[in-house]
Amino acid sequence: MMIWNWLLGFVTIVLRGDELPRFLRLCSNKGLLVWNVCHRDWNEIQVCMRKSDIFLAKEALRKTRTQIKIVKRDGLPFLVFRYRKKVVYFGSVVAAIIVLMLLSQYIWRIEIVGNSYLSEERLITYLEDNTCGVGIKKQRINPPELEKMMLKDFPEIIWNSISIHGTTLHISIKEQIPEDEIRQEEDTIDRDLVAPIRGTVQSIYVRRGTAAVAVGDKVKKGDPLVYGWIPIYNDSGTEIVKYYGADADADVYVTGKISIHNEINRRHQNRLYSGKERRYIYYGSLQHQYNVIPILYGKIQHTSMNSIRQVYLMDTIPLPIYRNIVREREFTFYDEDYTNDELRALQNRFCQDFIEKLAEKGVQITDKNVMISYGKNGSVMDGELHCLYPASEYAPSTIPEVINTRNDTL
Amino acid sequence: MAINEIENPLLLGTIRLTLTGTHCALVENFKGIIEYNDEMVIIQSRKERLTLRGTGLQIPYYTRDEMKVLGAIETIEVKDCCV
Repeated sequence: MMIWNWLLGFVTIVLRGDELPRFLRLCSNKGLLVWNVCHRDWNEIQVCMRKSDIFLAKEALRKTRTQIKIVKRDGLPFLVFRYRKKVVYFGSVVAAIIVLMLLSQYIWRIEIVGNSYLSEERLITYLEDNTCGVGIKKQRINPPELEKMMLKDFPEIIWNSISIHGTTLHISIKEQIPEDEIRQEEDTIDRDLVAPIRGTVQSIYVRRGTAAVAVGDKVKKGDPLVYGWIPIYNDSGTEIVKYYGADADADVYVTGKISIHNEINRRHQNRLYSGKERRYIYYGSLQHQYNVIPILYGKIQHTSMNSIRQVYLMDTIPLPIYRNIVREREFTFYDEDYTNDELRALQNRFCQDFIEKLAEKGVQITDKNVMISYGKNGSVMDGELHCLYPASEYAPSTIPEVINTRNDTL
Repeated sequence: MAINEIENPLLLGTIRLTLTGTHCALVENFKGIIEYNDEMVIIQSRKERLTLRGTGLQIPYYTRDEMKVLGAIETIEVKDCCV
């Protein structure tokens, strides 16, 4: 009842007169609610009445010759009147609440946990293709259905869990990393392990197949090291009756030399930054951001670095707004000559990168024999790297035919 | 009609008073308030006049059907009178 009175608005009034009880009777007969009646003086009482009832009590006031004085005004109508000039402020607050409520019905962020083989971009593209991406209404996404679809469409995923919290779609997955070579049983071809470089066999350990070389043999690039077949002997072990195809599997190391060559010109173009730099921020969606300062550097050469991030409300609620911080630095090109020290550093860096790439394949460098020469026009690096190369290349195997040399006539 | 046969005093116009301790009195079935100040409240029904005396008497609400009196109620008088 008090809430209703506050919504309608009520006043606290002081009534002065000789017929105050009669006034109260007349009010109650008319159905006017009066409350918080308290005595102030011998002919004065204080009461609370609704704002609209004051006008209806005029007749009772006139009959009882009671004077009325409003001492306090309470309720929503008076509050609205008091802040009538701030309607834009309150309107904005209400509009913001409505907009937040509307936007909270959509998905604005996708969080994927547990993926290593499947990239996040691939999963997000898959979700967008199945109308489950950013900007989709939460009601349109059915997590159990989506879980089944992902398990069916991605054989790498062995378990997944999808849930929606707020405006974020949480996806947890567990993967089974596939083997590097995925081969079907019916498409299996038997392969020979071949030499990666020209050199000498350092060590050989065969797990499957037939060894074609021994330790110390000299081979050239492409020579078979382990055949992709196994001979099957008869019971006495003297004659081969059949060749059984078996994909070669062995650890074979070949020592050899890899040549390295690199040329660098002394004259090159370099950038001279003028020191002028500008940063500005603009906002928009993920695909389109709108620049509030539409003027760029224009024809002046400059580097531009973008950093796009999603905007969060109170660091936890993602909004469908992306901020792009752009940094532009002005520069000009000019020609410059490398010094010998700089050329040496560049050649060393090239050599180091070359060795690191070989190391990724498992190649061990045992010795380096590299020469760097300097001339007027630049520098040339020539040399050889002595290395221990693991065999990891394959070639299709040719299974030999069995030649029957047994004499049928006794 | 004997007094003990009265079941619905509202039909007979008798005032109904519900007292809670000595601080709260709920009055129903009355015609109106005759007198009010912080030491005395006189309420008229069809047949009786109820007088509540005490100190600090206030009326939290007053409607056509009921009213409440709060305060330190010391005496309650009910007087028969024909109106």
